Amino acid sequence: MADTLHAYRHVQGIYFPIAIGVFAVIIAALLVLLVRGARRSRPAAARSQALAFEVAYALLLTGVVAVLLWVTFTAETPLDRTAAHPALQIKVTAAQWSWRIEYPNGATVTAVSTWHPPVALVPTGVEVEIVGTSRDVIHGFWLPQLHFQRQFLPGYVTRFDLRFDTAGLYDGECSVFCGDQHSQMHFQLRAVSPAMFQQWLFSHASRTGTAR
Amino acid sequence: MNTTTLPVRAAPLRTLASTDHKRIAIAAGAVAFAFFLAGGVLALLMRSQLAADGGVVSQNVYDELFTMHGSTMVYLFMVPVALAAGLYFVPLQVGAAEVAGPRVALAGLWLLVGGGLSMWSGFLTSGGAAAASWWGFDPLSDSLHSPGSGMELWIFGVMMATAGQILWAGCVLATALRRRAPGMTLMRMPVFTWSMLVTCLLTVFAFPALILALALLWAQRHFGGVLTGGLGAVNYQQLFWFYGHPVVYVMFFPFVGMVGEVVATFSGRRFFGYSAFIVALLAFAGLSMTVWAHHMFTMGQVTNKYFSLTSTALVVPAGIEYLDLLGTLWRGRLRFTTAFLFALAFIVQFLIGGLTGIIVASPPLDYGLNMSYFVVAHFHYTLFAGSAFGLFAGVYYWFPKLTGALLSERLGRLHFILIAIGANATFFPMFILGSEGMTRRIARYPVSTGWQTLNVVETVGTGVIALSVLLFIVNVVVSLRSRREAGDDPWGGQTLEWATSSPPPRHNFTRLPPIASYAPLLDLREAREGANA
Amino acid sequence: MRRAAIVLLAWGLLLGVLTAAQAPFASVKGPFGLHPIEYIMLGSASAACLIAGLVVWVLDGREGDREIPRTVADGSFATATLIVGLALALVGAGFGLWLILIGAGIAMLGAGGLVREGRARRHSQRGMLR
Repeated sequence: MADTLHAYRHVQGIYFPIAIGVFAVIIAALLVLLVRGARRSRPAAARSQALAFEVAYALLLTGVVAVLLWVTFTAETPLDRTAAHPALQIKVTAAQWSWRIEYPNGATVTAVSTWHPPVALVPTGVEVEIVGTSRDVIHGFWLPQLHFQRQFLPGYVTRFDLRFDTAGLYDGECSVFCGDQHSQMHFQLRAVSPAMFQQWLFSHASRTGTAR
Repeated sequence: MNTTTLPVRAAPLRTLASTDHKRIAIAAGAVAFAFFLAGGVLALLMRSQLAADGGVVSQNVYDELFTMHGSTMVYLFMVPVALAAGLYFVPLQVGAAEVAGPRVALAGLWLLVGGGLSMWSGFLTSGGAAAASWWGFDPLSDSLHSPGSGMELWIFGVMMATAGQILWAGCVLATALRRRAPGMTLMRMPVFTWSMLVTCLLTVFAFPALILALALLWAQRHFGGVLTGGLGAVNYQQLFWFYGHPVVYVMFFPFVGMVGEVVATFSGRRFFGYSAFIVALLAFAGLSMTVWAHHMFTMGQVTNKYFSLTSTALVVPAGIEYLDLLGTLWRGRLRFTTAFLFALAFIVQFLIGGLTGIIVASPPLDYGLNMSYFVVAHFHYTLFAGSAFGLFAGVYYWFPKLTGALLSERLGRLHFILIAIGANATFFPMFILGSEGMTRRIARYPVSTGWQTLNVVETVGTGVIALSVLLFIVNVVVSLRSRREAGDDPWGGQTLEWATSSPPPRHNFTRLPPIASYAPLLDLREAREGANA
Repeated sequence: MRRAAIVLLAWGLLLGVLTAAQAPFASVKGPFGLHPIEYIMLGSASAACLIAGLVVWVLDGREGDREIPRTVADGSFATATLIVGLALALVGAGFGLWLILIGAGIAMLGAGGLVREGRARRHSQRGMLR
């Protein structure tokens, strides 16, 4: 199940609160030490080390690391896998500075260096396999709303699965700097019900062409 | 001391050819600071472009700006200044009369100058300076996609600067390992010296990978067939990041060491948890050699889980180091000098950078955040709000030792307040923007994104930073003019550099105090107080 | 003083252990699995550090705790000249043979100067020890 959106939200829901909590605890400790230290007129007698405490603390931190890694690894494994029989396979070819999105029936949507790219449709609720490559330099296929990106390498085919649970528009960016018109390399996907998608795919096959 | 000096005749040119590690380090620091100002101007230009929603520079020029800003700050400022601090203070802190290999250290200075001039002369060529980011990654940086001499000059420049840094690290490492005064055992070396030792280990054993990567890139540009296809591009980045992650720790460890010294001095007590801190430093440095491909998670070509494991494991030594820093504040009597204020800000702000680093060390999160302003915020919090603040802590602390004059505390406090406000105003909003999908390395964003307000706030922040830096320069000039004498030990320091004059004589010490711990001067003071009691 | 080598040997060993820690990930198949370049680079760094440790161990063994009298020149124009020459020669690789030759010439002057400095140091050291 390549549910990138929920994987991100799940991991974020654990990492972000822990990070904020750790920050708060350390800052609180720091403030207490600063207030007390500012008031003192001379340094108080104090140990200069506490090895047992440090070892215990290191073990505690190791435990926290183990928990974080377990959360990360279990969330990541399905994201890195591709389904054996995806419902749909879409070929995406990146080039300086365009995206060509090709469907199994030959229908194509091409976005060339524009802030207002033509819309390519995808079906909701199923595994969509993206088969991507680049024609020249490294580009990055990024859908911020799905919290997922993958780099497209020249001369190499990369595969990953996406799942669009919610219908609507998804903005696509090129995330990897690729030259002068990197900032124009946008694409756009619209997720619609599988039935609407089939309709569009059938009619689009006979009207294929580039759009600006 | 068993050294004698053969005098050189042409006195005015002494600094350019001096073998005195102190002169070389100050020259390197001055060169690095000049590059900091130059890199800062580039940042101001970029921020003006983003605040004005375009129209200041073209995308073409913007590409050169961010490439040269990152390249200058890493290759020509932060790494050289970190190593220069070690070049100056490690021989002093271990009681040595000279750095090991003084000519090698001098060679490093000239390589920095040559490297910087080569990189920046790209701006004078018809094709402009290099514009393939500070990573220079293939295939964008090959002869087809980045033709022109700007890229060539960048490659040579980075090679030279890096070679110089490796030489410096070798000198400082050899000094710490083999030139310590009698009685200065390894476990009596100060915290800063240990932080420099691990810095030098990283430099010596990881930096050569960059020189190899650049040599392969140059060969690819001229002969082809070296970095072929997509996997060739991956191999370039494997080599680059093998250098590229340790380099950010080279830009961290010296500053956490400086902060450790400052906190101990202005807390009036010895550093807490010394042995644990040393073990943590070595472990932290060792781990930092193993995390590099976390910069490549979204390529789908590296062992993501191994690199995620090692990257997340950094929490353990980092946590120990933070425990020891806080432990050094425990039961101390605190003096809130400017150096101490910068050290405190380092502790808070680096923590933000570090915690957000753990966030992007998780591939599922990195898949969403890579190449966005979230990452830009993360590394500016560690490198600027962290390391640069640690650097200022070290500067305010050690300026009297270098020059014999004290910096103005009033101007210093104003500098601190301004730069603290400026840094947070500039970089904190970037976490938010990055989470909303704002990509890095882009000159203009559609107004419909709604990001313009925060972009303007960030640019105002950089203006405040610029003002604070000007204030710092004024402080330096005014303080050197009015020359309030600092004496040998204005702060009540604990380590050997405070047991000699300010500035120290050519061979550092005329006599050494007894060395029984990592805080020899504190031991002396405590013994005297015990005798007087 | 021999203990200095221990730092290098210990750290080199640590890097070796961290390289070996990649082994469990060999079971991950496909592009997210193990790649040779990953353990070759880290293993090389480990080996280099261990070798450096052995070298320092041997050097410290030979010198022991004796204080070696050192003579240091206050300045070395030769070093500066050598590096400037090498820098010009390197940049010349992008601009033409003429610059490479100029750089090489300057570098040779610098190298010659270093030889002179070395001779002067040995001469003065002999004078001191008499």
